[in-house]
Amino acid sequence: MGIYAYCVVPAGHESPADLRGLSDADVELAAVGEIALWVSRIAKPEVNAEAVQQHNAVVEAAVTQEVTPVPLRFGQWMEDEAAMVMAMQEKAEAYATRLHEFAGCLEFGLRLLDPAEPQGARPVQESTPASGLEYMRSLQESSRLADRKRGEAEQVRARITELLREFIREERQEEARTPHAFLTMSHLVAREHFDAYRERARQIRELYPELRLLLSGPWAPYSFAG
Amino acid sequence: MSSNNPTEYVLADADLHLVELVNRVLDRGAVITGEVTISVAGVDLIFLGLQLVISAAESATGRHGLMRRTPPA
Repeated sequence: MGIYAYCVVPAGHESPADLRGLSDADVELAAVGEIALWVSRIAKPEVNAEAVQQHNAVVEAAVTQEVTPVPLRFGQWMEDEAAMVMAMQEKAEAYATRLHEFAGCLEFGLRLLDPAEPQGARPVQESTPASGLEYMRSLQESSRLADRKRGEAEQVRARITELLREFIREERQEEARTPHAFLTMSHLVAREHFDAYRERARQIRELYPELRLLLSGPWAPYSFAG
Repeated sequence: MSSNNPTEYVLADADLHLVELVNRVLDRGAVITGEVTISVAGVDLIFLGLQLVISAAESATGRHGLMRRTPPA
């Protein structure tokens, strides 16, 4: 049996009495000076869809009008509670600052996908080059296409950021890691701007009809917690 | 631009939500223990999330294989 942590909250921010966590365990408040953790005393959990959803359910239960927790990544489990408290004490000041910055805000995700198949050079991984020269040319063409795509994505990102600037506190961009991923952004948005942000995102969709825009949220601010 | 792919893999809104959720909970968030549960080494977790969704759907329906439909001509 060990201790599993879901999120960082302000000191004294108690969990609801009827809240259940992973393995249907109680969710408790573990104080660490000016901050605290919501934790459960359980064995090391397995990763599955249900556990992921339950972890997030606890994190979201910590959200109120005044408090937005610092979400922890799934799997923050330690055998020794004292060791976990010590690890938290080292970062307590940084987490306290983040709690202050997150208060009243949540995260939205913008994902632009390019449904078009890649044009030009064959994917290097799928090709069977007849010669080393052909292989090098294929690599060169793939690199050129990737550079062009990054340039286009940066232009789109800059435009989207400008259009949303008045509504966002912070922005994170994720590197595209799959062929159809054109742009992946996360925005920290204050509650009073939620509706305006959503409306502006819908307008952005119309600016790029060739791309598929997926808007998600609001989420607890996982993308800004690391 | 238009897709040359004659079929389109379609996920319901609930499935997209789960994929986005998995991507956040497993790949983002603060780390305090010094280790992570899953090493993803460059693999976009949206695909891991998709696998979880597909596995859940297969279990629920008893059918196997990727969900797909052909869009109208």
